[in-house]
Amino acid sequence: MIEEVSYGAMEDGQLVSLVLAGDKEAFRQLIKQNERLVFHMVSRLVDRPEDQEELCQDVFVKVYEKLPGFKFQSKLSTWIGTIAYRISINHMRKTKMEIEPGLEDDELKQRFVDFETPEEIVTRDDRKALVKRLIEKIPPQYRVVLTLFHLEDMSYPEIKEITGFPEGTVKSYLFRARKLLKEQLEHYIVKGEVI
Amino acid sequence: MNKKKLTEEELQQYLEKGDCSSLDSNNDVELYKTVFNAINEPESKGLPTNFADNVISRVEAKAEPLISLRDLQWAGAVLVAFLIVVLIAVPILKVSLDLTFLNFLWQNKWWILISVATVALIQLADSKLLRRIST
Repeated sequence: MIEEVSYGAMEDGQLVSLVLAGDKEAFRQLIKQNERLVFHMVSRLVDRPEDQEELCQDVFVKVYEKLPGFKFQSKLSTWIGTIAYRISINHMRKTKMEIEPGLEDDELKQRFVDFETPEEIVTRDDRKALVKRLIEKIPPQYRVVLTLFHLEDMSYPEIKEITGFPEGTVKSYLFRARKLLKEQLEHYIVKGEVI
Repeated sequence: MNKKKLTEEELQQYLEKGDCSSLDSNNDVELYKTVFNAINEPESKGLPTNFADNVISRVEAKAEPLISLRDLQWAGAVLVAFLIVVLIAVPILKVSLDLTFLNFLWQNKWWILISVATVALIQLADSKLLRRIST
């Protein structure tokens, strides 16, 4: 009886060995397991949707090329996240996008000045949608840390490894990002006079 | 009993742990709950379903050289064999070589150069641009 290979249940080491041996299905599985992380990372840093898919492809092509050098010193997903982060930052540099804007309070509030006032922020869903739009306005490094922590359930050391920010900075960005979102939400709700 | 008001940091820590039941409802708590609900919600957008196929096509296209090493080895061997045959045949057959055709090549050297450059340019465009678009 031929034993069916279950790629989904494989550990990182097994999957990597198969990819290195030229198993196309194993590589497909590796992509499927990590495409959400890569998309989150790229889409949080790169605004143009038309660039996002191509950059996600670039990430996995790079992963394939560099896989023989992967030494299992971290989780495979963390390593892939690091590549996605670097490729996104390089793209931002090339397209002269803002990478490290000022993070002083006044400068941060200035980012929301041109944000249109939502006409109605009545329901809970409306408010959630508003927060999601506000996320697009916060500095990129805040967006990345928020995404890795909340959507990818990554720990502080993992975020530190991917972004290169010290652990204290990761914690600080996370706290300040959530505080900023809460303050802006409050600002627009009061402006919309629903409370 | 009058509970001490939590700092923003403490509030965030409670919500991070998902421990909302012990929190008194107030404006800050409600705002933070909305923020946490929004940032914990996965993106509705994503990559197309054929994304993995597109990546694999790109990897395969990159791995496939225009001319393989084996092809080059064969071409080299054929060329060397041809030269050996010519070098042996010329003295044996006492053939006088007519090299006037080289004059034709020299007179049209710019046309030849432009043609070769055009072909190389088309090859480059095909490998860098067209294959990328097709994936």
